[in-house]
This record gives sequence, C-alpha cells and structure tokens, in this order.
Amino acid sequence: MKNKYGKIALDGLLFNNPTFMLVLGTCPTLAMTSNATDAFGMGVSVIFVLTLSNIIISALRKLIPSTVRIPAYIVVIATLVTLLKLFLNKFLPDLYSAMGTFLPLIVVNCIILGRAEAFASKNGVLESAVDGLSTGAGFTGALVIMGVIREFVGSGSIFGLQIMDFGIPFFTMPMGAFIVYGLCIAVFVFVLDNVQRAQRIRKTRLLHGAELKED
Amino acid sequence: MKLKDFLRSNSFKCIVVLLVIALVCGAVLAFCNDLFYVSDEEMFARSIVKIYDGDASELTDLIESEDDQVTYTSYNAQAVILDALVAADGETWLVQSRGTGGYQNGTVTIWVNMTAEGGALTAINKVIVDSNDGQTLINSFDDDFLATYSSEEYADVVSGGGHFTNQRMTSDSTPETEVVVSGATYTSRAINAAVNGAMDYVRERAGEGV
Repeated sequence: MKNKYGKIALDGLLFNNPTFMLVLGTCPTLAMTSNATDAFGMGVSVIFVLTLSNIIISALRKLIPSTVRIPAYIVVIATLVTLLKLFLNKFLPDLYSAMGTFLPLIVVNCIILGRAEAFASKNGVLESAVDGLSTGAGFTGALVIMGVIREFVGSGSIFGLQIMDFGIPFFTMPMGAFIVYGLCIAVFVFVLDNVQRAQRIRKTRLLHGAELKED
Repeated sequence: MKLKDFLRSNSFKCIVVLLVIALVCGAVLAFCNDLFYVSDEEMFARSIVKIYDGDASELTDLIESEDDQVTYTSYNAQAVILDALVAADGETWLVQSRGTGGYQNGTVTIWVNMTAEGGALTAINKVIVDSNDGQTLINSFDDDFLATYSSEEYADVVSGGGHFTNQRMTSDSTPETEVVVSGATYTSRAINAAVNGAMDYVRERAGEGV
C-alpha cells in the first residue's frame, strides 16, 4: 500500500514530470519563469487547483456520466480557479497582478484536465489527492528551477535578492525562456535516464547473482 | 419517447448532473465573491500606500466624478487621467493614469508621484503599475524599470516639458526620451502614454495655480 502511494508520488515528481518529461503546461512555464518568485506563485496555484480538482472529480467519478465528463470537469476546474483568483486578489494582490492573464488560463492548463481525465476519473480519492499533490509539486519544482536560472542569469538575482550586478537580459525574455526550457529538459532527461539505467543494471546483477548462487 | 422513458434515460441523467454541478459551483462562487470582495476604497488604499509616504487623509481629490476625467494624446497613444490628488503644500501630486495602445489594444493603469514647484512640473518621484488589461509581459516592468522615469538621466525630459516614447513606435523619439522594454514594446507604449498623460495633467493644473 505504501509502495503504491510512493510510486504515484515519484511518477508525478520525476518519471512523469509534467513539465520536463510530458512537456505539458508549456504556456505558463515559458511566461511565468522570468523570476523565481512568480514561478513559485504559479506552481503553488497549480498545486491548489490540481489537488482539489483531482479530489472532487475522483469523488464524483461514479456520478458523472462519461458523455458529459469533460464539461463537468471544466466547470469544477473553472470554479476552483475563480476561487483562487478571488483569494489572491484579496490577500496577495501583488502576486495576483504579476500572474495577470495566466491565472485564469490555469482553467485550460492541460496538466489539470489531463490528470482529471487520465487519473482522477479512474482512481480513488486518496490516490487522486497524492497524484494531484505530486504532479503539482513536480510542476512547481520545474518552474522554480527555470525561474531561478532565468532570474540569476538574466538579472543577477534569486527570489529578488541581488547576488551580482551582472545580468544577460536575453534570458528574462521569451527567447531565453525557450533556450532555458530546452536545456532543462535535456539535463533532466539525461540524469533520469542514467539513474534508470543504473537501476536496471543493479537489478540485472542481483538477478544474475541469485542465479549463480542457485547453480 | 414517453416522459417516463426520458426521465430514465442517460440524457436526463446528464442534464441533471451538469445542472447540479453548475448550481453548486455557482452557489460556492457567489458566497466566496461576497467573502473576498475588494471594494474600490480598499483598492485605492492599497495603491496610495505604495505611491505616497505621507498621510493620505490630507490629500485633496481633484477628480471626483468621471466628468472630471481628461484625456491626453502623445505619440499615437492616449492617457485617461482617472484620479488626481494634491498635497496641502501644493507641491506633491499623485495622478492615476490609464495608458492605451498596449498589447492587443490593452491598457495599463499607473500611479505617478510628482513634484511641482512654482506652477511647473519639476520631478517624477515614483511610478507604480496599478493594474493592466491583458498585458502578458507586465512582469518585465519591475520596480527597477519604473525607477527609470524618476532617474537623474531623464530629469531634463520631465522638467523641460518633454515626453517619453520608444523608437519602435514612432520616428519622433530621441535617445533622450526613449524608455522601452525590449520585447514588450506595446506595453511600453501604454506605460509611456500613461506617464506622459500624468505629466501633462500636472503641467496644466499646476500652471493654473491649483
């Protein structure tokens, strides 16, 4: 049972990372990573919407007829995004202004609808909650990594804290976002591929070792 | 199809489920809308805290209704002066200005803190972005960028009756008046228009001896 949730969490965070492995939610990824603070804000917003939408959709999965499931999911997701929008406008107006158009666009973020359709509609509430949290955390992590790189290289600061006076403004612009995104995907896939290969080799050696002992 | 058959059909179930979901979501939103409502007064207070260090209750409001709002044009973009406040000494001016001509014809609303002495605008002290309409690159206009308007480099533009612009939008600009974020030229135009409008308003009203 513990392994089941661990596997769901690892899938969302690493092996099926929505940003670096599945290349989903590219629009906010490129737009909201010009600095780490905004990237973190967008990530946390997506965690909130994704976890709650997964829980609600999973709880209602047996009541919603399959023919109208997509409009039903969209209504639930749109409601959660509107709630988030009202909350941010009231309590975090700076983040609300910084997110601008990309806040309402969370409604059509394919990560959220994708997880609702692919996971929450087929699994229990607890599994869906873990999936929402881990996928959201994977998305947030990816955004923060890109935000830190772009902010540091582009303006010499991290989370608004000035580290150096030198900066290459190109990296805070859309072209820089594409380049950083591509490089991050390459590094992430390279590292994960090597880790998985090492795991496979270890398993094979263990298997061969067991066979040799039997012989 | 008889009514009884329809009530047992999948179509009816679909309609009921969608209606119930829509109604519940609508009720939750209506409740939260009241709970998290941000009044105009609250919005105003938030902006004033950012733009003005002094006591806001001592400011005189010069624009009390929409009829008092004025429009200025500079470099093919307009600015609507939404609100203007002046301190008791007559030297500190706070102007809320909405610049048009942004990305996808959107707007940017800013607050500008200015100083006028002897009936003439002498300096811009601070500029903040209040709100925007559909400007996807508004993040690029951070405090460092907005401090450009109040920098020593552009002091002559402000006190000499000049305006800010960007070369990509007009051939009239000169390096002395160019303030632009590369890659966000339309939003830059809207912000420049708003700043220009705010300056024109203070030049006009301070000149009248307000």
